[in-house]
Amino acid sequence: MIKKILLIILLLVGIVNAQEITVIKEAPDTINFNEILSVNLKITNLDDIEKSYQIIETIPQGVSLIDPSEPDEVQKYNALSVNLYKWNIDIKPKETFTITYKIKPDNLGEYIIPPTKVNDLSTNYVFLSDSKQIIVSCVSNNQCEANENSLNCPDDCSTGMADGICDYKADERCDPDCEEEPDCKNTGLGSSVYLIVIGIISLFIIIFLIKLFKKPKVSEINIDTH
Amino acid sequence: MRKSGVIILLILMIPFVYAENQAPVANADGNKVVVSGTTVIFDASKSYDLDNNLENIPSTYKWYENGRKIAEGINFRKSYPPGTYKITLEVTDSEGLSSKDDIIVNSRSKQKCKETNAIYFPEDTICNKKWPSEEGEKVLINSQGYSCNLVEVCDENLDFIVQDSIECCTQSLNTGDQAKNNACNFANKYSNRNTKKCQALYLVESLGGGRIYMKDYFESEMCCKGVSELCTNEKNLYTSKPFLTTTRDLSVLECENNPENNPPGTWVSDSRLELNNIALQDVPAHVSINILSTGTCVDYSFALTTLLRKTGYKEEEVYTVESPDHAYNLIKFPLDKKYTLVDTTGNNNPAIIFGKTPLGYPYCESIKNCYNDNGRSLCPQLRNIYGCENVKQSIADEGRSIGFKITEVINDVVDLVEGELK
Repeated sequence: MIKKILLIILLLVGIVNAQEITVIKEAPDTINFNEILSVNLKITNLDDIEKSYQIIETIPQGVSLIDPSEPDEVQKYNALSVNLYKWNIDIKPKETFTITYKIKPDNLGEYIIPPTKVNDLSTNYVFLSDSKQIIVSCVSNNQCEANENSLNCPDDCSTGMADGICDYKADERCDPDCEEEPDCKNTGLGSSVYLIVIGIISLFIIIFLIKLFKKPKVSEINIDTH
Repeated sequence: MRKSGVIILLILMIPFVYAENQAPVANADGNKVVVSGTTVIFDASKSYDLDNNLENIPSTYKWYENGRKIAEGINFRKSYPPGTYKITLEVTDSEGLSSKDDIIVNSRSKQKCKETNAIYFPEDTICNKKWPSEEGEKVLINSQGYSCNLVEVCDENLDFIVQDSIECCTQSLNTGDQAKNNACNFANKYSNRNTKKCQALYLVESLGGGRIYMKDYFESEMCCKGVSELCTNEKNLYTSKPFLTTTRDLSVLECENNPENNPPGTWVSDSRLELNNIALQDVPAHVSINILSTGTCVDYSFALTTLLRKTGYKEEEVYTVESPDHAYNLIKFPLDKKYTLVDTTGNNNPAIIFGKTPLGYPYCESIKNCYNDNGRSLCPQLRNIYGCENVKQSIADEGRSIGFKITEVINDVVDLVEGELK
């Protein structure tokens, strides 16, 4: 019974803690390649007393740091290096503190900025924000360039190209990235037979036409001899 | 003369007649051998229409069982009691032309993983038990373990994740869990409507940036083993700290290591966590996923290999790759000609880049050994891995990889000699 009461109290503490702070991560949904991405972290202290927080932001791979230009910490996950931004802030009751940082994605495609960790230093409670998905779009120039493919730059790279993406699609192009594909099947035996048949028929037509145009000349010669 | 003209006209019309709307091609993805009671996924995504007249509506794809319509849609799922069932897929284009494909489903009792209650497992595994077992090949990466323990395909306690992936990819995952929904959206977006690829992408994303079944990086393993370059705070060396705050409470874990006595860690009990020495080791997949919910590179990689194998990826389609200082995965997705490198370590983000390698590590150059539940295997050649085509592979390495042909080596040598002569 005592255990149950303790459990309920602990759960209630969790709910209270969860309501003491809100963290909103704001960034555009889409940016163009080579553009700088500005991310806003809005932290609101919902408590009635001033609080100290440590904010930890994990930066995805393949991103250049713009502002701040250096990470506050680099964590090693085996051979991978992960850049972290860290801030220590105090927020008065019912006030919102906004942190802005700037990064530049080095690649096209989809990036996910992981949840922001906010550590309430008075309770050691860690609050996680939602993650934020960003699409880095290509700037179309009608050329399918090195980093582009039919997924991340469909305007420049059509399906069926040798771009590392298998587009299983009947688009009249046998995609070299696919193990099997409708258009590759059509360049097989069936279509070869069709071409051979067409070729033979065309040959017969040509021979037939040549004979057709030769005949009148023969009759003219005959008339002349009579 | 008139007759001849008519014949010529008819002959010339042949190509135009041929170019008229053609019937679509139905493809029900081949016969299936399944375990009775498990969820079978039927997938029509390989069907196509040369005229591109297949509408994205359920009625385009109709499924019949022994002549009776049982479902509509590009995929559906059903379980079967033991027996043989004839399934027919009918695909109809927007102009009403259709074609059919018949497949046979043979539902039978378990042939593998007989000593567990697992319902999702690969048919081509050598394993029958879950941890602790001595099945499979001994694998030595950070510590020594049996392949059937590390890639724990027979553990029924991991089946729920396969079920999540099935629900995601057959359009019914609606958990209210934002992270799962995001991973599911990612999987459906990039799978080209192929269910098996969708399931794999869901699993990749859920261990990667989605942070669903494993979270963060288990630094404590490194600190306990005294790996100073991977232990952020040197005060934590030879301790079981730092305690992760975002996963479950792991403060009961023990570290028995010190500079004088520094063996690999050992996992001996799931129920009494204090009996385990948490120093760097390769733990069974169920420990990484269900108990610790975190891990280091090898743990993330074995977890993904386990889940993909349980999803039905064949032994030559998924590997855990060991490199001198890292571990990651190689996956051959359905329809792809080559393998894709994937790295989910510590919720690595992005864990996968389509057509390329992940970022931040020389993945192609570092491939050393490849493993799954059946033990150590030959690794694929670099030319068969997206993003590695232009990386030079030594002839010795090439000889140890899949698809190796002596004629290719001779050609390479001839090219090399010709180059030198020029």
